[in-house]
Amino acid sequence: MAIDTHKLGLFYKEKLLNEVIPFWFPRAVDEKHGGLYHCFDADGTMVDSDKSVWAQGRMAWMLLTCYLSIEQNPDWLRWAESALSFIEDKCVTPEGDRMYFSVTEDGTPLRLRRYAYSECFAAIAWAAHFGATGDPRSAERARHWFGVYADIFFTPGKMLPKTTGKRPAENLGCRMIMMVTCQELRKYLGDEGGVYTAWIDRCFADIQRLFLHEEIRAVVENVALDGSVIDHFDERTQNPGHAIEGGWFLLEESRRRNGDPKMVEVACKMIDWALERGWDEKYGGLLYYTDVYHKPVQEYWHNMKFWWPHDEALIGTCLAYVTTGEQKYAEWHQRIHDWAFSHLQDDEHGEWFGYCERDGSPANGLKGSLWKSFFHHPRALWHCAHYFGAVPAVAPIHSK
Amino acid sequence: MMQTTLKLHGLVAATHTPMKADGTCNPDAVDTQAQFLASQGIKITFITGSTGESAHMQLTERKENMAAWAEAGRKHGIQFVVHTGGNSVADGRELAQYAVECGAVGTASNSPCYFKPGSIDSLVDCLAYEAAGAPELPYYFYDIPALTHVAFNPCKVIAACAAKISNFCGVKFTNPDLALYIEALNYEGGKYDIPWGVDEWFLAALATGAKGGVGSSFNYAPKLYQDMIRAFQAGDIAEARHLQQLSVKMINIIAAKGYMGCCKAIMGWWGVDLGPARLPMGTPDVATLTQLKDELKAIGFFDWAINK
Repeated sequence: MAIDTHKLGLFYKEKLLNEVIPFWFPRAVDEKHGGLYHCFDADGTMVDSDKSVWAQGRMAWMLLTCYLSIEQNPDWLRWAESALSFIEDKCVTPEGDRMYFSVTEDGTPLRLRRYAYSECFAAIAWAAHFGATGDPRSAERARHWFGVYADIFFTPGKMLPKTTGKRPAENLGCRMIMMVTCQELRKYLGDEGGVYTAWIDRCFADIQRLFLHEEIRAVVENVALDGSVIDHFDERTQNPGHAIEGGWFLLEESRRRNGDPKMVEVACKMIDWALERGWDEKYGGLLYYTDVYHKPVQEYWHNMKFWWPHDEALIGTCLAYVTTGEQKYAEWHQRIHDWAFSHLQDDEHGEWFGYCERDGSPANGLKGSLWKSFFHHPRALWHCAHYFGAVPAVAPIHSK
Repeated sequence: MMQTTLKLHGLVAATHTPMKADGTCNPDAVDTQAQFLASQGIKITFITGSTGESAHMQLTERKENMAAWAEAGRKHGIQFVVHTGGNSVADGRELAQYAVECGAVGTASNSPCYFKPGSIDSLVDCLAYEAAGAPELPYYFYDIPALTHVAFNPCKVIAACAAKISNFCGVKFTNPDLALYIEALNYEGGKYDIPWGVDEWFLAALATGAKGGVGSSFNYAPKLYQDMIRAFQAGDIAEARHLQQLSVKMINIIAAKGYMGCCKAIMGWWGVDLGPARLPMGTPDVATLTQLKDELKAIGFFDWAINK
């Protein structure tokens, strides 16, 4: 099967510009308090006015990525800056060392979490803002929040424990996010003495040493300190979308490294195994959770079809095809594309539904929540359009 | 003198003690640490010495770290020598006893140094008391006058140890005086094992006759010293000097920013998260680490420090 990458690239770009951005904007913009709303029903009706701090950083980053690659649309910059100012003014703890997880629309803090993903999404947005404006304060903020992220996730004992610690484990997620965060900061700030590349090297080494399990063809997301599988519910649970996402982060990195064959090999394994395990043969689409030993999963939404794994799979298969030229990735890309755009897609109001039942019917109309915002779907559209040649790479306006 | 096959030849890593953000110990990380060192060709470690911050650790913490090494060492094929020294000889003896239980291959101790022994006899009484905790294991005196400020002629200490400590077998020689070193190496026909302990002078020690060393920079830059040994053995002195100069530059860069905390951070870059250095040592901030990486990169550190 041949796929027309040129046509697909244009398709994704068209979806991004004419459907997804118009769904979110300007309705997301809170002109009164600043910042961005993101909890919307199918037709764009707001269903919750609270603001996720993740979403502020992610949406600002996405807007700036479009600004620096597609069109220097002053509205995109202004909306991104609204989110960034809101983060700076309302989402940082009084001590200045952390960011909240969620706040009300006027910025009253609601929740601070143990982990530090608010901080890293803010960091990539600040870095992109530096790329757009050259403002050194934005670069400084990007560095600062990156440092907080690295400290909280990689200094043992820094993060408050969720459990007693009697079953210590290493986690893939923080390493994946470290890689993509480093890639974004490096894009705009430069490598800063090799700091970012070294972190990526380290995370890549960790992935091979701890999480990649050849013997069962699986990426295990939570393992014992020596990398062995912890044979219990939580640690056996894997999200195929995560492994695919981690895989394309590595493929993206390999492009900077003359196609580093080891990196491509590991990345393709992560994607291949996750597709093998995650694809629902009965109804199509990617299952949300599977068990590394194919045992029953404890989470009860495991069979649902969420939007973001399909977005990650679009990018993963697109980039794997562009990188390796292997036919199977073209086939996978088409399969995921066809399923997603015939089930998750809302032709009436635009954008994707966030949550579908196993059979692919929408579980509800939700387009935005504390988790789903102007991020995964436009990111997938942007990346697929980019890798298929329809959107250029970001070009910082102000070099450092 | 004890007959033993143990020799601290080659590179013996003086390991860091893994800690958590709040400064408590994190023995869970020893497995990863041992795995990394094994992957770098390290066969023996020297645990809870100066680099291990043992002077600032509780007795129970030192035992927990040792127990973690017992397991990780078996698993990853690394033998370990336990440093038991400190100001309390009773703790030292208890640690030596525990070292036997944990399967250590030797013990070592430095001199008490708050109130200092006033004579060689008094020093050796202290050492003998600790060494007696593990009479079946080879025992090394850890001579580090720059930190203990207890400085006796090592050959005289060796003579006194030989008379009073049945399991005495050598000295970890952390004293840059090569005249003293060559005498110690050749004392009574060279019958004692005298590993070198000043990484910045490693090449000079090799030229003097050292068979190996115990050092902290072997943790984070083992390849540099492995290459140095190879160059020296192949007679390529120019290359060996070049590598020694890199070692000195590297250590100067790190030391200028707070040696212990920075070394532990570098281990994190290699995938071994050791946490911060404990009080009174400092922890480098992000800006310092960025600067550190910049300066290390400028001397090629990331190309020659470890085996990839």
